[in-house]
Amino acid sequence: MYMLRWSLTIGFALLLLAGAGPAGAGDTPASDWPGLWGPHRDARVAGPLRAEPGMQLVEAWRRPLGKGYSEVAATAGRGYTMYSDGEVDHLLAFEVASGKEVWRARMAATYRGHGSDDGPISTPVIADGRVFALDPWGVLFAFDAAAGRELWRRDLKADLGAVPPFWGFATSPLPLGKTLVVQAGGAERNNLVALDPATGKTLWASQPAKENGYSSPVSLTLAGTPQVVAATNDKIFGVKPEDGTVLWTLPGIGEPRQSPMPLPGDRLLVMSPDIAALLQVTHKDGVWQAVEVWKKPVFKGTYSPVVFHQGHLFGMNGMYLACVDPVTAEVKWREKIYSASLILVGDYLAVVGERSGSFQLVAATPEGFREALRIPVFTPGARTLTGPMFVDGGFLLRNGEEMVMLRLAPAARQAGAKP
Amino acid sequence: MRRVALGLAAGLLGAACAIAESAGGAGNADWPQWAGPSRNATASAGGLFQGPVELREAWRKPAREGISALTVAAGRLFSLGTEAGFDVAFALDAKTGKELWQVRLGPANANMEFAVTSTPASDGKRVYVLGGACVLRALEAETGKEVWNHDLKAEFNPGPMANGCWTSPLLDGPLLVVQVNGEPDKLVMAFDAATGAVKWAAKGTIRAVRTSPAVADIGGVRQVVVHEGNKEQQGGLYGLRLTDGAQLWSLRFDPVQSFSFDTPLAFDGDRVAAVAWSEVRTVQVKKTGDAWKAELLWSARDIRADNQPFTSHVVAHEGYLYGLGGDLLVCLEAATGKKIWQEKVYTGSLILVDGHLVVLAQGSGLVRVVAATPEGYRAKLRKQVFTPGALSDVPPSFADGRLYLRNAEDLVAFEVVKAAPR
Repeated sequence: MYMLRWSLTIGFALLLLAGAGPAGAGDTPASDWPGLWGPHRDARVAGPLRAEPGMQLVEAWRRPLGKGYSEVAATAGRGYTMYSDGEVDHLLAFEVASGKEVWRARMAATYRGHGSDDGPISTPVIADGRVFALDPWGVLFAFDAAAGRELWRRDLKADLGAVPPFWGFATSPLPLGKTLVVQAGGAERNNLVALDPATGKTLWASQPAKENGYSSPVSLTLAGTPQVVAATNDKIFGVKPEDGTVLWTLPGIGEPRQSPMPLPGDRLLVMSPDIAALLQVTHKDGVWQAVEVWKKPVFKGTYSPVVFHQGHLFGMNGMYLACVDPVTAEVKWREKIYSASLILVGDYLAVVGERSGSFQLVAATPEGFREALRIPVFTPGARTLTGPMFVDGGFLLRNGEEMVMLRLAPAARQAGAKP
Repeated sequence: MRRVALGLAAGLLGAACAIAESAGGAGNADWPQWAGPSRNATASAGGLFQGPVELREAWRKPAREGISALTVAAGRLFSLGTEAGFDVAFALDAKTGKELWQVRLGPANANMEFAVTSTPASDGKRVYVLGGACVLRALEAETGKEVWNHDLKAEFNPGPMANGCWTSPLLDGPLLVVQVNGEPDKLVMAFDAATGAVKWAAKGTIRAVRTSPAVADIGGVRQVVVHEGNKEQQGGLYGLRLTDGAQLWSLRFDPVQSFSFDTPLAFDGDRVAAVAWSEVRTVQVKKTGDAWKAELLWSARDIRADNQPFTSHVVAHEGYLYGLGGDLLVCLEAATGKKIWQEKVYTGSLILVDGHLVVLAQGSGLVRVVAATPEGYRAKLRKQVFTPGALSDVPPSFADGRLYLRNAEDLVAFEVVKAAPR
């Protein structure tokens, strides 16, 4: 029965991949989830996901996992994530098809007592056959992705003067060209650095801000210029990817938990626990300028990304899922779904409840809230702060106890599905 | 007499309330403030929880935003909520849930990740509330009419309080004690509950911004116990004589692991348990002649506050501590910290009623009644009271034979009734 279900769902997955649209631009296969927030660090995956009535989700596999908020980074059929076994933090490499362990690397003793259920917070990232993973102590590891051999490590605190964030290091490194950009968070130096992915050596260091935080840098083009954008408690900034030269800065809006979210039209959405702000970046006559278009608590109280689709923003406002017009900050609709994290897959929001343990697909449309699917996945009450990941046509979910792969299947072939 | 009434049908409970009301004060069966009648999250119920019990829903209504806990005194339930940008104090008929009055207190703290947190205290005649930009008010319990107020920010220089006034006033006899955090020498203040007159101000040792004080008789002296741990400085614990605020003893904790929102728990006469984000510490307070000394007995990670800051994580019963840490409910030997048993219930809050733990899960919407015994985890009742996924960050309250619960959506009251033995 397991095999039958498996082959059927593979077939459906291929259908999805074949239809992957232009939004999955770049050279990342749509089947990959190479690091935090997916292929483009915007929590969006293209593809005509047809969650039609009658379509059901099938559990392909489930395996135990330890504490941690890390997402899975996945490429070429292999996934990587971090967890704590209660004593030690590990980087786990596993088969996406089965969940089976391929290798596991011991990182360091679990960082206790600072929230995050004591587990790792940052998400590993894969680039050029290497996996990069930052533990909560601030030690950045590079592993050979195939075999798990450690290539190098750098202690952001000891080597780079990083200020340890109170809850532990949470930022996810950003592979960019021939560099690995890390928001190390040094107060006097090394606030943002680019490292050589082969050796870990510093290629450039930039000081657009003084503070550290829990968010991660993103790479994008604003006003025709490629740049790295990041946020701290004190600043939001853009720097040149080639040498870290500061292009523009803006005062921060509070302690960021999420990365800045790139939007069309040279805009960015930034968030703190209490408020969200839309920024417009311009470059005229050689002068860079970033202005706050609006700042309103339309999204808050969440670790989830806000995603952009059909000209609208979809994200969490406490226990409400909200659709917001980015131009006016007008709330088009909101629905009480309780605390959750989400991503966009095709035309659907894939949503996992923080405490309900349930997974939903919701139409990403400004017209109103419409739930397409909803199934229980994790034990109610257990905490799930990691958003869904879309890998090889399936939804990968993890919390502090388990990891689960869900695949779409036609209702008629649902027999034997669990739970 | 009231205990007899509690064991009977719901109709008689109303009569019991009426008796308490006519007496014009908070009775034994009240839950008159944060952490209950003795500020130790413990209540008695005259044997109501012995034998099988059931929870029968008495009433349920939508909850305002906020995680202020539920105070019950003389038949009225008091709490705070945030509505349309303002903090509101409200009173309900505890028996029926009918709203008796509401009073707008002032603008809510817009920068607050959590809506209003402070829990009112009531002696039955008046209710004391802290909300709406840190104004301490005494209101008539019957009408909500203001009797007196102190604007803490304007009068006492509390300095920056990142997220407003989190603390819950402590009512003990005629005194209302508040962690005002007034600089430089008014960190803790006592007011005459009837008039609002300042009775004393204590310099204290550490700004206790997020926690609320306890009160207990330690070494024969009634004292206010203050606990604080924050990101910026060391955590600590200290005792102030209730009558005049004189500092009797103090203790500093490890600077790194002390972040906390928890009210200290005084137990076994001369001990205090302080729950921080990462662990629980138990402290022995000794009095030799006029000299006081406090020392750390043991600490354990089995009970800790991570993930659910604003609630009640530990209670003490007959030589054992029962508490929540990580995903587990645990029983620890109070003298040593040795773990006796554990059960996975996920995060939540708990109180002790009649030798039983009432545990409200934070995220699953389950309430459990568990015998407080070192013999093992013995759940007497497990009931779905809220929608799974909705956060319950408010500890239960127990008064007059009813369990009162609040989560992000609902306020609900259950009659605790004896069930037929199975």
